[in-house]
Amino acid sequence: MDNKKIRQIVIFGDGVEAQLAALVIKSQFDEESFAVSIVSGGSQNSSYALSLQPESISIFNLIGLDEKTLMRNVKSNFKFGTLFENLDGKGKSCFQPFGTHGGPMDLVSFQHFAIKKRIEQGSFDYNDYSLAAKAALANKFVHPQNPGSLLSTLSYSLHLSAEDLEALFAHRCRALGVNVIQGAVKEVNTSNDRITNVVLDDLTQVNGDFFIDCTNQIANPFAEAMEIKIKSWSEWFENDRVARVFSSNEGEELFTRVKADSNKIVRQIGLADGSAQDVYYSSRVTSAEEVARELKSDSLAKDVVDEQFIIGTREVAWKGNYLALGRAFGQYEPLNASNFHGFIVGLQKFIALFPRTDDCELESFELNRKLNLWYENMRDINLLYHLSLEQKAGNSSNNLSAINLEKYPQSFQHKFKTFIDSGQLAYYEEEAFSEPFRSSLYLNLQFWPSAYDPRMDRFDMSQMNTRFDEMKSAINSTVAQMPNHLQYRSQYLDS
Amino acid sequence: MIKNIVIVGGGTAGWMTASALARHLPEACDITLVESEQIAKVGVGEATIPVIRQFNAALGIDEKEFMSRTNATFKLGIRFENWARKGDAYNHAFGFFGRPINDISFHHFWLSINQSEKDAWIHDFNVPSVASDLNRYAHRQYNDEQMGSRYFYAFQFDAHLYADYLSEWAQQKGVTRKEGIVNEVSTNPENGFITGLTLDNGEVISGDLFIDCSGFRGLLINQTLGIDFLDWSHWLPCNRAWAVSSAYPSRDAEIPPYTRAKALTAGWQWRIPLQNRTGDGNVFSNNFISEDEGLSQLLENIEGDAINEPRLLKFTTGKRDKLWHKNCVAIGLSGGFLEPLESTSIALIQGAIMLLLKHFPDNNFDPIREQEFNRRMTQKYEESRDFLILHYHATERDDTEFWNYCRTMSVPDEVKFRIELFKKTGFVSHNQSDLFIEHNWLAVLFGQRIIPENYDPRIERFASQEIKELLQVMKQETRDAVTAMPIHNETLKNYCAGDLISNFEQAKR
Repeated sequence: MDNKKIRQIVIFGDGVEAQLAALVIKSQFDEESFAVSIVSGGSQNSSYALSLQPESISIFNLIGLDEKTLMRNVKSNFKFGTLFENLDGKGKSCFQPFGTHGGPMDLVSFQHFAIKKRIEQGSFDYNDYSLAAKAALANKFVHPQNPGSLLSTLSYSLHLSAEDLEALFAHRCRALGVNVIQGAVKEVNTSNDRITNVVLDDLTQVNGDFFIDCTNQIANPFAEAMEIKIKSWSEWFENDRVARVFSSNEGEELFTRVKADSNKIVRQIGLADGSAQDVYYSSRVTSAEEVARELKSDSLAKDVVDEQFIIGTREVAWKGNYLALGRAFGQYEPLNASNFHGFIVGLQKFIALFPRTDDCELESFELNRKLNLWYENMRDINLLYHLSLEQKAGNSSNNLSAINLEKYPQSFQHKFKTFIDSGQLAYYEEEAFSEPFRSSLYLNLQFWPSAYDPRMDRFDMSQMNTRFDEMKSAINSTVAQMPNHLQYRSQYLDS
Repeated sequence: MIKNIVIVGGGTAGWMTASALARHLPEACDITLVESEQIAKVGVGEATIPVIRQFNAALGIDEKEFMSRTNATFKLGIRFENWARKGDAYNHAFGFFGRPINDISFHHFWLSINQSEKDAWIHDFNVPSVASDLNRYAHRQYNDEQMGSRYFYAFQFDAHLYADYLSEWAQQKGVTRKEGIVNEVSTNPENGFITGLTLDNGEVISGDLFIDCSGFRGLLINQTLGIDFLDWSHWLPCNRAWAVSSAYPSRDAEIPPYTRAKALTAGWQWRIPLQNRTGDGNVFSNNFISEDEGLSQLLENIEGDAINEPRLLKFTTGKRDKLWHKNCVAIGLSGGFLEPLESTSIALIQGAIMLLLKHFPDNNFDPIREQEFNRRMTQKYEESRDFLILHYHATERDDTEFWNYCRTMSVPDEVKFRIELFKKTGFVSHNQSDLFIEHNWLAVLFGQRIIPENYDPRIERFASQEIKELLQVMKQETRDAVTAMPIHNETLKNYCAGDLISNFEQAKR
């Protein structure tokens, strides 16, 4: 069979994901090379707001969208991390910041200082050594600055209005000549593991050389036609529905809130004009009506959108001339990162491997291998949060090494045991978060190891104590001098 | 806490391990190293790769002193001769090709220029490669901002002197050296853990943790604990090496800042230039030529006079099934041996030491630490193995039975995949933790005449003339940076002279 040169790319999806895929392709490749179309079915199945990771922001540079222009158009707030609330069912919370904690200690990571101190004195607040955490909770913000200074340890991200971003992207898509076709997918026709055409509900036949699925639906006609199986993670994640609502109440916080609330997980993202809430729940425990009733009790809330979802991934993201990105490939609970982040990771990997023809076996193998690893790592990070809830709810023994991990995936068991035994992180390729972030997550969720790196005992602890006491003080005084979030944002966007 | 650590074997692996443990572990740990002057050291790894600098820096070793004491020279890479075809030569140099533009690797831009219009080979855009060709070396730290500083360096040194240097250093830090041959190893009948060693003088040395640096035989890991060896000789078929030292042809000979690997009929010959001599060796497979033929080839191909008796090393490429078992960790040849082509021996020793420190056991010997160590070491060995296989397999040579075998042998899927993906797209697949990353693979892939059919399509946004001009500028920058460098001999003389070849006559005697 002759390989077909890719000239027509068709992207399916209704939200910012499909638009962003189109914009990136249009901006990264020779305009003459490809015709890009979006097929939009007109259904809304995304959150009202997006919560980005620091690593996601660079994608906007690729499409020539600078931070200020972006923020001005999408009611954006800055973000320093995530506040996890009600971890123990009694109101206890923990903040998980971006950026680093403490500082380098020869070859030993900072968490070992914390573990050693905690063993010695019985308690230790890890976030005392994070400028981002302290600043976020004080609602203070500045951009990272001066390499080597305390302010350089900051790392930030953004909250955005999905609706506004969609409008902004739509404008840019039109300007770049992206053709938008309205219609829902009725039938996907294939031959030899390749899509030949897609028939819409009005019987329009959409032809193309390469098809990108940004529909945000893991089970859909494409997966069925291409015979791509789904690997469900429901044995570890019970929630199978999400209710989304937007409320005009205050939303100026420098963090995403994630609250565990009687069998539900509520995620709240603050924007300049309100906040978006996504409620993840299990249909076996709670009904959609009950959740909607609860959400509508907030007088400022707009319409509630409720949808079913599957936590897990497809076996592959890319098969033949078909690629599924973001939630069409895999979905995870957006605890530390939104699914939009997973979409961006997949898109970036695809751009680096962009095929010239529809013979993509090698490229797809590479992308599938790496993307699967990335999603599995994200799954394992989320399992840590669930394990934390389970532990606290069950008032389990403090002996963490005695936790029965058998029901969890092998990789999670290995990672957890390694950290709890020695405070060290097991190494896996394609981790979704940096090492400092992962170790701080363990400690902030109160998974304290019983041992620390023995190399710590070579250090002069009085010197170390002085050094990090000074750092703690410097963090507090720096936060005191930092401007208020709103004030800073307003000045920044007006400048 | 582990109190008593016993290291068996005092070569490069043994003393590197002893030094690192003495430097990083609490002072309360007692470290004993057992070695015997009656057992010859293999002394592998006279050539290194840049990661060794992190190891030395973590010990706090003074670079000048160390280089002077070990007759070390600087190493910018490896020069491969006759590998893809007879008469070919290329450098695998420790630095980047050109500069990326808009996050797209440089080589895609170079590939986009029509073959007929190319006026430079890709290695001409690599500063350490061009510097190697001209025997030049400027001692500076990596600086991404300056074209002339976008390279890394390693060392070529006398491995015996390095072991001696570290031996002295470690003993000053409190490591106890015991002279003796291990006659017996005792184990706990209940759990199989090693409890102690009995030396030929009757002394019993007990310990909590035993590090096996005993060389190929694996006295503890294999002979005592019975951990099997995974044989990779079907992929890396060389199993013999004749080694000899030779003198420089003259006192004013230029010392190359690189190791040479010249492919012969059934393997290859190394030439590692030190300050006072070269280390030479013929690595070959005795399935294709005899040991005598191997020796003749070695002596025919050395440039100066041999200054010692050639010695024969016998090995099988591969690794132990696991390097850490119970309370024993195998580091160095006891854990595995690939072959010296890419100077990975010391890097793998270093990798094992750093992983051991990271996952250092306590008295419980929780199996999770052993598991993570073994998992990571397997990845490191396999990754190095795959990179080595590339050199043998990606050849056009059909002039001997050996090269026919290598060219047509079945290789691990991972190697096959990486080559095919590169051929098709110009994309280099590698893992984030790999020892050899994009520029390393590129040097060898291009050097072995694998030229991709395509390049990154994002480049089509750039005008061809614009790319040509960018390339012209980078080529000139590269050339200017190298021209401004002193010759390697001069840098050695000013920075770290030991027995620099001014003592040539003495070395010859």
